[in-house]
Amino acid sequence: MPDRRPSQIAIAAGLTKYALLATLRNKNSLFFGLMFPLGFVLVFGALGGGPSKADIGLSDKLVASGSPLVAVLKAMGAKKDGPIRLTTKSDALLEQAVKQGNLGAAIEAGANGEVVVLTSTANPIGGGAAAGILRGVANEINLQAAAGAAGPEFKKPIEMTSRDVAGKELRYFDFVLPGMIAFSLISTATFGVAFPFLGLRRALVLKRMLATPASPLSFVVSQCLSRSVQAVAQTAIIIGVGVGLYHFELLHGAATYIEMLVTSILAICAFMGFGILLANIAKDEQTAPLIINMFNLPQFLISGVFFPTNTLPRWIQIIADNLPLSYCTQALRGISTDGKHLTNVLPQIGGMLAWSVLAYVAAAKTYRTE
Amino acid sequence: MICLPSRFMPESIIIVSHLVKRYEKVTAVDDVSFEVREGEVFGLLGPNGAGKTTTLEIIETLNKPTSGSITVDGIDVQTRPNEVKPRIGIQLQSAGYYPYLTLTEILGMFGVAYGMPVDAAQLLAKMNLTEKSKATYNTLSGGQKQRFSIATTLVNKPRVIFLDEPTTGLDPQARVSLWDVIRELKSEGTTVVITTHYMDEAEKLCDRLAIMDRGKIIAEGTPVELIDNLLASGFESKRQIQPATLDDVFLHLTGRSLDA
Repeated sequence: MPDRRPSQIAIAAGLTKYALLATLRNKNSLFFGLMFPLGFVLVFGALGGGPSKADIGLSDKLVASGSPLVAVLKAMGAKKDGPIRLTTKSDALLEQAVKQGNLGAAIEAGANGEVVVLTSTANPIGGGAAAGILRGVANEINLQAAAGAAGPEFKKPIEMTSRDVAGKELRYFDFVLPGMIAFSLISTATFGVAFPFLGLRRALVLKRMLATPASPLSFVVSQCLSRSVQAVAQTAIIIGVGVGLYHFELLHGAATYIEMLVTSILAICAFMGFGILLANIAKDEQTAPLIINMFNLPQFLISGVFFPTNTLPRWIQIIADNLPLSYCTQALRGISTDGKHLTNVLPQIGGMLAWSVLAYVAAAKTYRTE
Repeated sequence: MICLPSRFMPESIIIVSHLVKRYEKVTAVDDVSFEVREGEVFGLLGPNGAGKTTTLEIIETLNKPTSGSITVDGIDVQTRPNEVKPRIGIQLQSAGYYPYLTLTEILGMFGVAYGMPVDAAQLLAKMNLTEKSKATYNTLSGGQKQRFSIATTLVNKPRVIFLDEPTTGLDPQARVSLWDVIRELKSEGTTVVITTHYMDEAEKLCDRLAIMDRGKIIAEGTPVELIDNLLASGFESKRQIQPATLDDVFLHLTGRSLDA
């Protein structure tokens, strides 16, 4: 009798269709993967009100130089209901704070006696307000000096240049949206994979598939492919909502969009190893949520999904920057907010894949069908 | 009763020889040998924990034996499991199916897994499930579930199908309707291996059977042979043989419906 074993590739492709059908009809998976992160996106988008005071950073060197501008600003900052709040820091720290959007703007001493206004649009509302105030104050001083109304220390007009320390307008929303996509991906890969796998295991579907010529690998691959379709759709929807409702900017247009979608596929495939591993570890569907949350929650908190990891203590930061979810968040954020391309985020993609190798090896070792 | 060695019985489609399955502390299957002939309904009987399911799973390539040899359709199960798989259809005890998929879709999925086109409508019609083609498995009644399970075992047009306690938990009508299905499969030339707790079922359905207890086969033969052997040993039933049973009463009153 001839060997009538079918091609595993054809099997995996065919099974994908059915896995996808089942996935799309699974309300739980769609809830965790899409509605939850989308809800966050909508909330964060709606929260985007401006701060009441403009946060302005002063360079310690500029303060030491006795710049007249500093004196005026300090007087403004000292007023209780004044429009500005001042912080004095070294130039390097100032630049970092502006980049992160913690300060709206900062001023430092330029090389030729001019004042340099540092802005980044990481904090566009605060940033615009702060820069506007600084220019207004400088213009006012210059005008008064020209009219002879100001004191002798203002004889020399204040020359103001500006320097943008980040390449694009970055709002908290722009920061948090790639985080939400990463959140959606890991939720889909864990809740959206572990639960169905547990169900299939309990119903002996995994075991029954073992008795067919389809290899377990083909079955797992079909699951991965179907979740990839789901992940791409979720990412597309989240970005679509971000762009449509909250002017989320795609720096290189369609290229950025596609690169984020490609990253999502890589991430879901990487994270699914954990989903299967968690399903193997969990005894049943009752214990699964605990185990999945133990894996997901710490990552949600410290992987830079909601806030930058550089505000964390150093030792936590080292962990926080190297978690599976961190790499995904960094890669997506690199593409969306820094305008990087896939080739520029290879280290992050590599980090994700390294984790996935660990996950898949562990998942294969613990794979069980009952 | 004398069992001839396998090499003299070319019509045997399954040959199990000195099968042992030992777990850490328990010997689940203890030196079991039997043969299933092509086209027959073969029953594996015995109490819970007798080793029936383990024996079946080893034949089905789902479990590895500690020692012994098994061939299915002339193919060694341990060395060439992937050639055995397309030749057999299996129904697992208390198995469910893919949630969120309709019966038609599940059959389609099995077709993909076997790399074969599937006529889902024809399979469902055969199992009297045509109107349920768009339903999901979980919405079926017990009898419908078992009939659907059997439909899934037929997707790859197997030479042998294995049914593990297909009638457990079914009401009498559903059992009778399942027996009809099994007889029909037999009439089409499919070999059926079935496990059951019900002796009346084994007697009505099986051409030959083996009784297992504590991992060993303690009796083997046709139902008539086994009964004759028992009577020959001087056994006498305590009850008078009734011309009809309560089962017959129930079925007569409620009708032999396939819709159960």
